[in-house]
Amino acid sequence: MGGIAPGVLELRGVGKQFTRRGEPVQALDNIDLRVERGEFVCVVGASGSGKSTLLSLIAGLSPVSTGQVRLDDRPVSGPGPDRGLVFQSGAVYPWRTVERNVAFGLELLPISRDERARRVDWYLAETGLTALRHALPRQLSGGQLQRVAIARALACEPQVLLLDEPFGALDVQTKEDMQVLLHRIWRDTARTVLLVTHDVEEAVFLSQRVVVLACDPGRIAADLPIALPSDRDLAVKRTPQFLKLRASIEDLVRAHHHRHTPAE
Amino acid sequence: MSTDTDAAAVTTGARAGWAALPRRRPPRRVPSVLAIRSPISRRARWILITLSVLVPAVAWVALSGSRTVEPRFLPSPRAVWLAGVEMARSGQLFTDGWASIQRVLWGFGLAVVVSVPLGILMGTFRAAQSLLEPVIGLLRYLPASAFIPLLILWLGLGEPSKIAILFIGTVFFNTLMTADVVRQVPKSLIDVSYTLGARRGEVLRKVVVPHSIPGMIDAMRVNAAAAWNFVVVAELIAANSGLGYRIIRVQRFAQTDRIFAILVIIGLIGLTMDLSLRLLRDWTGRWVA
Repeated sequence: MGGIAPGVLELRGVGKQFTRRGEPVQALDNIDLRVERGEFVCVVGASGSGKSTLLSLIAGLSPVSTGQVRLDDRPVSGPGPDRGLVFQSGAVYPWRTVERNVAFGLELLPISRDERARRVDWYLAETGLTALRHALPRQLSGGQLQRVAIARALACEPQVLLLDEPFGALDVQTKEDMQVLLHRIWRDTARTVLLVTHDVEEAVFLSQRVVVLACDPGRIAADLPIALPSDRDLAVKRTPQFLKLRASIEDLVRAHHHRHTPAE
Repeated sequence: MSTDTDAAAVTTGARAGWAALPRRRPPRRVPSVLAIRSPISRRARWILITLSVLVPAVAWVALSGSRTVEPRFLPSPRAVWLAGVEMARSGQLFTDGWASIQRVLWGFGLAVVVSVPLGILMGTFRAAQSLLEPVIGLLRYLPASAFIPLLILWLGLGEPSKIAILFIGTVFFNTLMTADVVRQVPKSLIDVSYTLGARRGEVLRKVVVPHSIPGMIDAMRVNAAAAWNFVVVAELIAANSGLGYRIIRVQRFAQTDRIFAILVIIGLIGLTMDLSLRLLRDWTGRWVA
């Protein structure tokens, strides 16, 4: 595909604090992270590790307290279509049909109707939504809604695609279908992807690198390459290599989660 | 843990020394008409709908037919029908009805034109909310009918004072209700729009407003009913046309049958107004789950 090239995402000493009931809370502390062009990175951590906060900082939806977020070596401030975001809830426009949801970002750009339709058609086909193009969101299942959200974000050709627990609310079978779909989309569109999840299996299956966040304050506890073949299907989840990676990362997440929970 | 506590835990499912939790008798089964939120049969529904119209109608017929109440106080349905037909024939009913409807269209129309943008501002910008909510929250508790003498002083006896009463009576409520609807636009929809490249004005136009339209029409439905009440009140006091004025006129000649006929017409026009707004709401809100 032509279009806008994927970008390099870099976080330099990013921290976030806010006040809750007058008390300062350090949500994230000194995060250094670099996601290479076209790389797929997953951030895992227990709830409360600031995973979602991290994504909203990168998306520019809330300002960083310290440090800097850089995209292709330029600092970013505020949200923009160069960093597409997919929420766990999907946040699909309920009054727009599937195709009009996907077209939302393109409608804001000075491109012809034909050009817009051509692109919408391609992303609908890529996410398997062509038959549902005239459906309203209330008629869709959870997995279909997430596909709309992904297609809509990708249609803007973001340099980085950010996904915040995108499959967290789905049943196991649908979740695995979506993982395979997302993996294929990543290979087809060659985007830089940063996905946040608490599901270690999902992270290992999807990514080339897994970053483990520790809780309280959120900081990077480990950064591990996933040396699995880049062309994966669900069968890889049963290989000894996969299971070993999964177990060791799960142990890491657990270790950093229990450090601050009171002993039972 | 000792072995006999373990055994106790297995047999009673509780810790040693705990009395067994009492169990309540299972509740009696109730018919679906009495079960909470339970759908009722088609037949039951139609019977209830018919009863809701039929019972008051039969009571009216019985009461007026039995002559226990003087016809001067409670005319028979037939007398009311004839009075209505006569007023319709003379064209009086239409000129009065149209005069009232026109006032509602002007007064409530102006209120909508002012309150919808204000409500959108209040629901969108915290600054607008802080600036406007205290004063509007206070003003809405001043009864519009109490403004009638003042408005007659200020604006005279003509149309402007009546339109102003309708306006005052509905503009504040509609503003606050619109603001509430707008505040319910999910933050995630607004956030995601920014990440898709939308600017502030585009978010307002393409996300906040479309999401709020069915709710805003619902608010208008409630306040249109209030406007329809206010117009009759305004006409009772100072007017020379309109359904409210006509009630006062015929009262002087003790023509209760005509009063009843006018009341029926007022109800029918209100119902029509509500139904058309409901249709509009359902049409614009096809996407609501």
